[in-house]
Amino acid sequence: MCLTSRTKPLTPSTPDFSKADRGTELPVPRRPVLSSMHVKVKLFASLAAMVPGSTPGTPVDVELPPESDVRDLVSRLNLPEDALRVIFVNGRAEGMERVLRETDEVGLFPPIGGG
Amino acid sequence: MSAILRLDMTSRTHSLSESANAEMAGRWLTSSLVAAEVPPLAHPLGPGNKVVFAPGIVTGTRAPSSARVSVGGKSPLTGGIKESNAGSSWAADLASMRIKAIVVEGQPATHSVWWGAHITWDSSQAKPAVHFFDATEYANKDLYEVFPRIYERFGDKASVAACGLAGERGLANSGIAFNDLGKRPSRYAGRGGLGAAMGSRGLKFIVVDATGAPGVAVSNSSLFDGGRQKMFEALRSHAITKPQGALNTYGTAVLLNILNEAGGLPTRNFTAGRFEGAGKIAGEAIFEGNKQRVGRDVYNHACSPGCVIQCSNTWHKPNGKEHVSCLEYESAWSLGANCGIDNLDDIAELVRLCNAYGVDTIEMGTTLGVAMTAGVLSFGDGKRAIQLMHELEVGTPLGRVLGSGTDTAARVFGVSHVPTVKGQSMPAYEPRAVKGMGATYATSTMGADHTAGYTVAPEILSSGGKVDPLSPEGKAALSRAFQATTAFVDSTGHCLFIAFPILDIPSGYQGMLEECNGVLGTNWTADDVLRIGGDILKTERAFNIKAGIGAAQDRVPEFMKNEPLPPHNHVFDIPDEALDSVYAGL
Repeated sequence: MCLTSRTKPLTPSTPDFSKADRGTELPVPRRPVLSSMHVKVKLFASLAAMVPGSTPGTPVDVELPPESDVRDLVSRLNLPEDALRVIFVNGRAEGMERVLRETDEVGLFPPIGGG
Repeated sequence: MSAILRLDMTSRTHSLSESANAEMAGRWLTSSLVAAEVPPLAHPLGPGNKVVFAPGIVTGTRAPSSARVSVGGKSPLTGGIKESNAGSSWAADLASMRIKAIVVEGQPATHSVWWGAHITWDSSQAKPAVHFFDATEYANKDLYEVFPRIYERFGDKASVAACGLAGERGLANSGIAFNDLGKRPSRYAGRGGLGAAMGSRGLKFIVVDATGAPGVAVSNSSLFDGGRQKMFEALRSHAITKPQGALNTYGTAVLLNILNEAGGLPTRNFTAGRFEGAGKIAGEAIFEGNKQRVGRDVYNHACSPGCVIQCSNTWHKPNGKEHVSCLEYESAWSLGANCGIDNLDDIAELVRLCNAYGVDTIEMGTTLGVAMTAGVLSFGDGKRAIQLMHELEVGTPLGRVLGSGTDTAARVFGVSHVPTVKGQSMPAYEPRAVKGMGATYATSTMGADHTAGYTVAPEILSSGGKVDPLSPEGKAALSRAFQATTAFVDSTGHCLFIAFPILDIPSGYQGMLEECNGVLGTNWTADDVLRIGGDILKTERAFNIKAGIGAAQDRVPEFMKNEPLPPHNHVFDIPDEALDSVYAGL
């Protein structure tokens, strides 16, 4: 999109309060609503192979409806829930019901161990 | 018969005696013997120290993943009691000769000759035979060069335990190498400098050949077989330990990414909990790198006979040839993230050199980390780190410093940011982000030791429960429970990785009890696991107190209480009183 070709700057439409009729309610401005949000997801160990095109540890950008939780994300990735053992969101262990926010970084692990 | 074989290195004679307590084995036996026979104030390199090798209760039987040996003594690194543990056919071979322990004691008057002991089964006498051989020609050499010569001399059926040149020179960071199933000198009783304890006895090798040996005596075969079957099924069904499960596919190095994600991967000498290069050196990267270089999926192998987990990996060179086996999590971390090194080829070479010279990879990486903090070399400079390992081999003063462990190097270079407890350095879990591990590091009788009380399982892996790693609450009790249970497992001869399935699968835990009861004729229950484990810890602690190591040393380093660790910016905040309650509660 080439902004220099515009002759007029884009402005969001706002109600014209000068025309409001005194005594009636002022129109309530509508907040712009995000239609989707983006989270980064890293899949590790055997999980990476379950999501086509992903490699272990490389973040995958996933678009989700706002207010989605981890369960929604897992479902969007077509991962069986019981394949997961540990879920990190921004470095803290969370459960499936954790609601996600824009720019959250999620790390998903199957059962792993070592020493 | 359950024999204690004594090797007297002063006279180069041996003797056999009946073991006083037929139940004791593994760590239970090594700690008991060390506490009874080594003066707590003995110099670890002097005449009073002993090195005790003991296979576990079920080692040498058909119990799966049970070919482990405990090695004990007074640690040249910590000055306290030490139990160090390795997986090898050596353990099973010793057990099948019905030798409960080898006690190496005394020392030769001069150090001009190095000795080996060759132990075979004398069928005509129905007991082990011991022959001492001059091992001087093998001294001061790369163990990868020496092991094939030993096999050539003593035959394919032999199993080999050895100290490397580091142990010969009395370096405090020296381990005892054991053969793996490929006859490599790559399985280590690594921590605590026992290589020097062995070397200071004048003993370089213990070569064992169990041909003709009677095998382990089993008191109740059907009970044992039932227990063994339960253990086998638990190992084979659990996602972590099953065939082509996490460990068989990715090895222990699979932990790099999860600790990094959790913000608990100690980076650049414990200054951060995340390493930007973690993904390049993790188990997944090793798997992918091998796939590219070898041209196929390479799954892991067993370190010792009877292991069904098979977690040992191999790193290959660009030409597809083997570089080193294996690249464990701890090694990839200490010589990788902790040093800011993100190159697997450099890390593999560093591991290979540690194996060649006979040093513990964990302590080597943390020593290099402290040297990097001091500016001796730069963080991330893998090539320079490799050069410094060669200095260790040559034996320059700098090389000797670097072979003497993290505390010594820090003192020489004037570094205060030192990640050690009781003189032993911390492994790959940051206490400020995995607080239960801080409690274990602080209070374990072994010094900072991760296997001693692996609270990582519930804190990070959601294995055997789930607790918040950043909370200080309840961690003292958690560490105590893990420490006591682990002391028992360390006595069974099982690999500690049985803990993953048996904490989740009750029949697996039951199987462990039935295996032990089947071999020994005992009637142990879960209560006995904690009782015996607790007794072992009390024995060890009593030795340490007499050696001058007490509650004041049950603390993490000062800087961890003051400096917040990114990314979570926590300090270690388990109160001292809580740490003191770990042993008060035993």
